[in-house]
Amino acid sequence: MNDEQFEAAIEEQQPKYQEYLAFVYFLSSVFFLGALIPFHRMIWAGILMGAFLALPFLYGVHKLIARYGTGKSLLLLAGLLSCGLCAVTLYCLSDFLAFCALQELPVWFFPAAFLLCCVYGAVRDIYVLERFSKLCGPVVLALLFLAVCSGISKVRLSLSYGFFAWRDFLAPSFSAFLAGAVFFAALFFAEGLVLLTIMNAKRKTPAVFKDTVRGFLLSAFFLAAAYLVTVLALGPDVFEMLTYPIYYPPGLTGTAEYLERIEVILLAVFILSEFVKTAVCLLTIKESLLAISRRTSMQTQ
Amino acid sequence: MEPQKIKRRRLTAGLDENIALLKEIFGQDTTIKIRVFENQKNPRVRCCIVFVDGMINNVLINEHIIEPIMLNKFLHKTDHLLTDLREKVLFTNDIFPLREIDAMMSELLSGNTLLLADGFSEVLVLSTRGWSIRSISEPAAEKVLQGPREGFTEALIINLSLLRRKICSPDLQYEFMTVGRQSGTKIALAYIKGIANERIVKEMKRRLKRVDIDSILDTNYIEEIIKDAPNSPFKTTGSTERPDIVAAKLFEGRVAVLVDGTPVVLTAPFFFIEYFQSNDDYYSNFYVGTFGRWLRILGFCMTLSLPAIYLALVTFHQDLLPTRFLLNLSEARLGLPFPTLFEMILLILVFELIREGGSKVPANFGQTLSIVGGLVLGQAAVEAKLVSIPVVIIIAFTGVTGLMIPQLKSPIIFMRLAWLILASVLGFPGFMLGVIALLIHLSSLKTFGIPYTSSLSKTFAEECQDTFIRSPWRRMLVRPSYISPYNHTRQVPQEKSQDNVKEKAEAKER
Amino acid sequence: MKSYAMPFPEAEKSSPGRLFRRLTAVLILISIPAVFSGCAEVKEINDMAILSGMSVDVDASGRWEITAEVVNKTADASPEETRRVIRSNGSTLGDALENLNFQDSRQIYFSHAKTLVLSRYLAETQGVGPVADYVMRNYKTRLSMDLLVSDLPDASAVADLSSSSSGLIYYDLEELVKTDRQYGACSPTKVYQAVNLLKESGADLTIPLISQRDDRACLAGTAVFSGDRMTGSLDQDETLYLQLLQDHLENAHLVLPEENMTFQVMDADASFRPVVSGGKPALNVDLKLSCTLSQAGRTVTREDTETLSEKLSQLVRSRCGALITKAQLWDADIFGFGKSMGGLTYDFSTLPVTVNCEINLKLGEVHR
Repeated sequence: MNDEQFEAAIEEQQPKYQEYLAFVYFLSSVFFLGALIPFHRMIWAGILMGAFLALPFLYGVHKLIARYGTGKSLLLLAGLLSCGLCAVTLYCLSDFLAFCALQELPVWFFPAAFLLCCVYGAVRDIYVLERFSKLCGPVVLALLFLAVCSGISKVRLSLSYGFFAWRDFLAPSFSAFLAGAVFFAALFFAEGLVLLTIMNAKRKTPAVFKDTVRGFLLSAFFLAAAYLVTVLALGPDVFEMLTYPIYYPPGLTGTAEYLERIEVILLAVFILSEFVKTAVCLLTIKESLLAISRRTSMQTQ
Repeated sequence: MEPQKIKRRRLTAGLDENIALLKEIFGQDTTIKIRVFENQKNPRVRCCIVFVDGMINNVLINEHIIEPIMLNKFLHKTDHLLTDLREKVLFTNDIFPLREIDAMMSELLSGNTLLLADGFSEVLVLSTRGWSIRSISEPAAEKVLQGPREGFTEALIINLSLLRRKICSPDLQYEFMTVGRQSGTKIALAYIKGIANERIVKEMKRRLKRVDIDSILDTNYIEEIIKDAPNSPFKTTGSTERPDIVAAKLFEGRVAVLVDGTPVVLTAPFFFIEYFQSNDDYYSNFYVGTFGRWLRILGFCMTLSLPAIYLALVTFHQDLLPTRFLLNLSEARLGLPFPTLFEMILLILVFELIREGGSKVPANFGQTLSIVGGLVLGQAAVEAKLVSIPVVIIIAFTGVTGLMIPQLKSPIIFMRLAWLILASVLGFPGFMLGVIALLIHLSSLKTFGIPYTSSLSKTFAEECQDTFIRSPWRRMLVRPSYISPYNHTRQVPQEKSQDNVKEKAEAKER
Repeated sequence: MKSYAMPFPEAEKSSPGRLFRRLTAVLILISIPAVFSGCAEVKEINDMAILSGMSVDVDASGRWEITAEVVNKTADASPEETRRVIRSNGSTLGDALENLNFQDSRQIYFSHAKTLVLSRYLAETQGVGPVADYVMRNYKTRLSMDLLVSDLPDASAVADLSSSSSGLIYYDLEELVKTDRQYGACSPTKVYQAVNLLKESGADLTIPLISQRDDRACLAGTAVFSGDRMTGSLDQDETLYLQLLQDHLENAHLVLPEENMTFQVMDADASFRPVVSGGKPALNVDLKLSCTLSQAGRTVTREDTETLSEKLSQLVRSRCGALITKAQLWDADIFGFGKSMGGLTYDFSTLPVTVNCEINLKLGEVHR
C-alpha cells in the first residue's frame, strides 16, 4: 500500500465523525435562548418545524458549495454569522450560569474561562473537534436521554391536561408559535451554513451534508423531546413563565428515592455542546480572517 | 585518550605497536586484559587477545581461543593467517574482522574479545560474552494470575531470543543500531514484515537516528526524546517488560524497540485505550476481562473527577446534593478551620508523600509506614478536627483507584490537581472545562501520525472488539486497520475455515 | 512523496505555538493570586443555615410573618438541639423573607426547604398568589416545595410541633404528605403545580390541610381554593373521594360500616363525559374501581359479590355526589371538569353532574 492509499485509508475513517459533530453542535442552539426570547408552549413543535424548514435551504447551500467551492465571500459570511452566534451563545450561557449555577461569582469570570477553553479547541483542526464530538457525543446523548426519562417520570398528565385541549394547545397565540418556528428555521440555517462552510473549507470529503443532516435531525429530535417533556412536567403556563425551563424537571423531585436533583447532568450537556458550537464558530472566524488577510496581501502585492 | 584522537589512529602490522596503542587508549584501566601468546610449533605466529575482565567467558577464551592457537601444529605465518584462524582453528560461533579502532573499542567494551596477530593491521572480533545476568523472572509490576511468567532481562540478546521464541516466523525482523555517544548502547528495532506499518517503521528509524545523547541507560531516555508531544503527560509509546505483550503488539502491526541494559521494551504506536488493557484480560474469560477493563476505566474516571466533583458540589452547588447527604456533610464539617479545598490538597499531598515513601522504603518498614500513614495521620487528623471524614474517604478512594493504572500516574497527579483548582474557582462548570481541555488534548494527540484516540473513535464494529470490551477470541477476526492497513485478517471465521467447510461437506455426503 | 514525519520535538520552534504557551503561562500566573486570594466567594456548608421549611402568616394589619426552621445539627446534639426556629416579619412577603437573613449569623440557605405552610387566614384573604409568585421569581427557593395550609390558629404554630422521625418538622411534613398520598389521604401540591392550576382555566387549586394531633402534625384534609383564595376545606374522607375524582387514587380503603367490611381499592379510574341534555350541558362522571375485600365481619360467599358491589357503588356515588355538590357551592372546580367540557358554555355551580360507578369486586384470598 502506498502513501496515497494509506492516507485514503485514514481519511476513510474520518467522515463518520461529522454526524457526531453536527449532533453536539446543533444541540446547544436552544437551551439558553430564554434569555433573549420568551418561550412558547409549542416550542418543541417549533423546533421540529424549524429544522425541517431549514433543511432545503441547507441543501441549497451544500449544492452551492459543491459547485463553487467555499469562496472568500462565503467564508466571510460564515465568519460574520459565527461572530453573532458566538456573542449570543456567550451572553446566554453567562446569563444562565449567573442565574442558576454560579450566582456568587462575577458574571464575566466563567465566560472568560470558557472562551479561553474554546480558543484552545479552535486552534486545533476540525478533525480534533470531530474526534472530541465522537468521544463526548454518546455521553451527551446518554445524559440527555437520562434527563428526558427523568422528566417523563415527573409528568402528571392531569396537570397538563389542558395542554391536550386544542384551544389551549397554541395559547397564547398561534402567531407566536409560527414566529418561533420561523425563528428556529433561521437559527438552524445560520448555524448549518457556518458548519457546512467550515467543514467543506477544511475537508475534502463529499459526504459532509448527509452526515451533517443526520446529526442535525437527531439533535432537533432530542431537543424537541426534552422540551415536550418539560412542558408536560412543569405545565404549559409555568413553562412559559420561566426563563430556562428545561433546567428544572430533573431537579423537581427525587427519582427512585436516591437520585435527587440531577440537573447537574444537564449542566454537563449544556457546557459540552456550547463548547463545540463556540469552538466551531471561532474556527470559522479564524478561517475567514485568514481568507481576508490572504486577499489583502494579494491585493497589496 | 580523547574519542576524536582514537578515531584518527590506525592499527599497524606490528603487534607490539598495537599493544602499546591499546595500553595508551585504556590508560590505567586494569580490567582490560592483554594476553600475548604464540604457537608452540611455530613461534612466529604471535597473537594477542584483548578482553575486559568480568565480561567474558573464561572457559571459552582458554579452551576455544588460546588453546587451539597455541597447540595447533599446522599454523604458519602467512598472508592468510587470520583467515585460517577464523575458518579452521578457532572454536567460536561468531568471528568477524575489523579495522576501525572505534568499532573495535565498542566490540571490546560490549564483551567481545579482540584477537590481534603480528603482521596484520586487522583484528578478529570473537564472540565471548559471558557476564552474569539476572535470570528470567516475572516482572514485579506486571504480574498475572494466569499466563506466561517470563520477563525481559537486561541482556539484549536474551530479550531477542525470548521474542523469537514467541514469534517463530522469518518475518520477524530485527534492525540494530547504537545510540549514546559515550554509552554505545545497542538497540534493536523489531517488527513483523508484512504486518507492520512501513511508515511507522521508517519514522521510528528516523527518530532513533536523531537521538544524540551521551548515554542511554533506559528506554525512558529514548521514549522522552522521540515522543510526539514532549509536553504532554500522556505517553505516545508503550513500555512493557513482558515478551508476550510485545509479541501481541507486534502482531497488531506495531514496532518494538529493545534496548540493551534494560528489561523495558518500547512499543509504538501507543493509543489511549492501551492504558486500560491488561494481559490478564486476554488470558482469562472474556467476561472477566471486560469487567476488569471497565473497572480500570471507572477507576481512572473516579480518581480524576471525584475530588473535583465533590468540591464543586459542596462549595458551589449545594442545592444539587440530596438533602440527607447535605445534612450529614454539614454535621461532619462543623468546627473545621480550613476550607474544603485546603483539606483536599493537604490530604492529596499527604497521600502522595506516603505513596512515594512507600515505594522507596525497605520492606521491613512497610508496616510501620502503613500504620503511621493510615491510622495516625488519617484518624488523628479527623479527631483533631483538621479534616473531615468525607474528605478522608474521598481522597483515600481517589488514591486507591489511582494506583490501579501505574502508567497513568503522572497525568493523574497533574490533572487531578488542575481539575480540583478549576472546580474550586468555577464549580461544576469549571470541572467541565477541565474535562473539555483533557478531551481536546487527547483528541489532538497523535502517536506516530495516528490519532491517539483512534481506537476509541472507531465506528467499524469489527475493530471495536478490543476497546471497552474484550470480545471473545473467535470474534476478533481483524487487526486494527488504523495501525496498519496491511494483512488485515487475524483469523478466519470458524464457519468459513477450510477445515470446517470440508467437514460440513463430508457430513452432508454421509 | 508525502511524509508523515512528525516534527522532531527539539526542532519545533513555531512562533504561534510559543506565543500561545507564553500567554498561557502569563494567564496561569495571573490567575494564581486570583484563585488563592479568595476573590471567588465560595461558601462552605457549615457557613450556611439550611432552611428545612417555613410558615407564612399575615396579620389583620397586613404585616407578614415568617417562621422558619433552621438545621443546627452537631454530632452530639439532642433532638431539640438539631433545629432552631427563627422568625421575622415585614411589610411585604419579600421584605419578611429578606429580614430572615438577619436572624442567624450564617447565610440562610433556601434551596433545601421542602415545605411551605400558609395560614388559613392568609389563604382566605391574600391567597396563594403572592407566595407562589415569590417562589417563581427567585431561583434560591425551589419550585418543588410542597404547599400546605395550616388548620391551626397560626401557621407559625407548625414550627412548634414535635417531629416524629428526622427531628425537623418541615422535612417530616414532606414525608407525611408523601406517605399519606399513597393511602389517598391527601393530594399533594407543589408550588409549580399550584401556579399552573392558577394560571389555566378548567381546574381549581387544592392544597393539603394540616393540623395537630397531640403534639404532632397530621393531615386534616384538603383546602379548596376558588381562584387563588381559599373557600373551604374537605375532611379526610372527602379527600379520598376527591383523589378518586381527580384520578389520582393509588391505594385506599373503603368501608361499609353496616356490613362491618373493609375494601381495598386496587385500581381506580375516573373519566368525564360531557353531554348535552335538553339543550343544556351536563357531565357524566364514570368511575371504575377494582376492589378487594380485605376484612369481613361475617362469612362472605361468591353470591354476596353482586350485593356488596352494588352497596359499594352506592357508597361511592353518594359520597362523590356530595363532594361535587359541596364544590359547586364554593364554585371551585377542583376536579377538572372544565378541561373536559371542551368549548361548551356552562356554569360550574349549576352544572348537572351524574356519577356512575362500576365496581369490580374480588373477595380476596379466602372465600367460599
